[in-house]
Amino acid sequence: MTNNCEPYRQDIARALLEDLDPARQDALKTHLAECPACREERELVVQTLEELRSTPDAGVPRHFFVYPEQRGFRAFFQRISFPWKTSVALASLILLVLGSFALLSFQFQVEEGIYSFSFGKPIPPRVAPVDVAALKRELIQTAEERARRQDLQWGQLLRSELSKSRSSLSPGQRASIAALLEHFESRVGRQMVAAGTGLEAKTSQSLADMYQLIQVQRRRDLTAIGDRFNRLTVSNQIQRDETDAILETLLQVAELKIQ
Amino acid sequence: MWIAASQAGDALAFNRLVLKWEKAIYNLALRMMNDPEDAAEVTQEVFLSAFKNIRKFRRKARFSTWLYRIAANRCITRLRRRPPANHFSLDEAPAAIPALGESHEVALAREESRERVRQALQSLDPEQRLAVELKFYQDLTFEEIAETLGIPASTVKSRLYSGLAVLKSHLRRERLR
Repeated sequence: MTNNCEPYRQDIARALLEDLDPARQDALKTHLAECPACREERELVVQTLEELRSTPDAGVPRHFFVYPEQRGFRAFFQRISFPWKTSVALASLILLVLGSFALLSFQFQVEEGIYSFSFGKPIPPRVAPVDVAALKRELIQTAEERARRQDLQWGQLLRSELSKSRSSLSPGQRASIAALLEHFESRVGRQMVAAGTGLEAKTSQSLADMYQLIQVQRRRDLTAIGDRFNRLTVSNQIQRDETDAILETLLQVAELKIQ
Repeated sequence: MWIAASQAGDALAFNRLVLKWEKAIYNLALRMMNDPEDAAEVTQEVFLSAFKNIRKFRRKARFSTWLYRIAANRCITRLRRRPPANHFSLDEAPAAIPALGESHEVALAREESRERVRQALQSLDPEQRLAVELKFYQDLTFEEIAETLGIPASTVKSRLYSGLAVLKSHLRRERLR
């Protein structure tokens, strides 16, 4: 092989694969006629190509069909083994039973926008709040009304007695009686005002005492409700712990069975 | 027709396409991976991927080109992660069974030739091997190979001719042994 052969060596494979333009093909053909080394090289390339092409394809070991994937819970449930299916079903049944018991004992109530719930025992009736101001006004009105009626009765009585006695009395005597009556009325008026003030004070005090009493009772009731609620929470927690223990035991049994 | 049905979600139509192309894809994978189990895995992955993405296939292009592209990418990705070991030796090769009218000697020579070619192909790097595979075994033109691999035709030719030179040296050495 000479240095002249190098460009033709590269063209040999291209010519065999029909990747050479006609001008270079002719040049290669002319060179091959004169160069035994390049002819031998061409022969090697031909043998290589023949050997490559003569290698037959292997048969497929199996078919490569595609099966569309099922999705969803149904596909998941079909994939899991029978012992797991049994364990899941059993656990679901237990949860259902416990949940039903819980629901049967559960009570719920909405009153005036306030939500109340209870497990087992009925919901206690709500104590309506005392309208202290309205009660106070009512009591004062009643007292004032009574006092006014009594005053009227007194005044009417005195006037009727005076008119009965008018004919038998002298003008001086009538004037004295009228002055006495006036004095008596003003004293009664003052006493009525004092009584009214005292009554108002006593009423206020009574109302304050009553309000205090009601507040104390409300606090006691709320504390009792709070205690009851705490006891219920504790008993629910115990029930939950017991349920968790049961489920854990079931799962362990299921695992032992699978093994 | 099968392609249109497959794009509409018909798995049965797609499996007809599988039946038509599985041998070509399997042999491509086998020559690339040099292991029948790996080749089977790659082939299954190729068809699964093709089925999932069949809607993206533009029917103006050739289905075979699209399929070869998926197969080529899978093989190259796998080979980059794990170079193929020489699992498939002559000792494990199936026995030379003579074809009808063929002598045992001819059958044996055929198997030996196949083994030589297999070993020679493994001496190429993956890109060269792929170019040789698509040109000589799948009978694609340089332009079709370029389209399949997404590279210029000049790059395809460069890889092919360099691969051929390596194969020539290797096969010549084996023949002279």
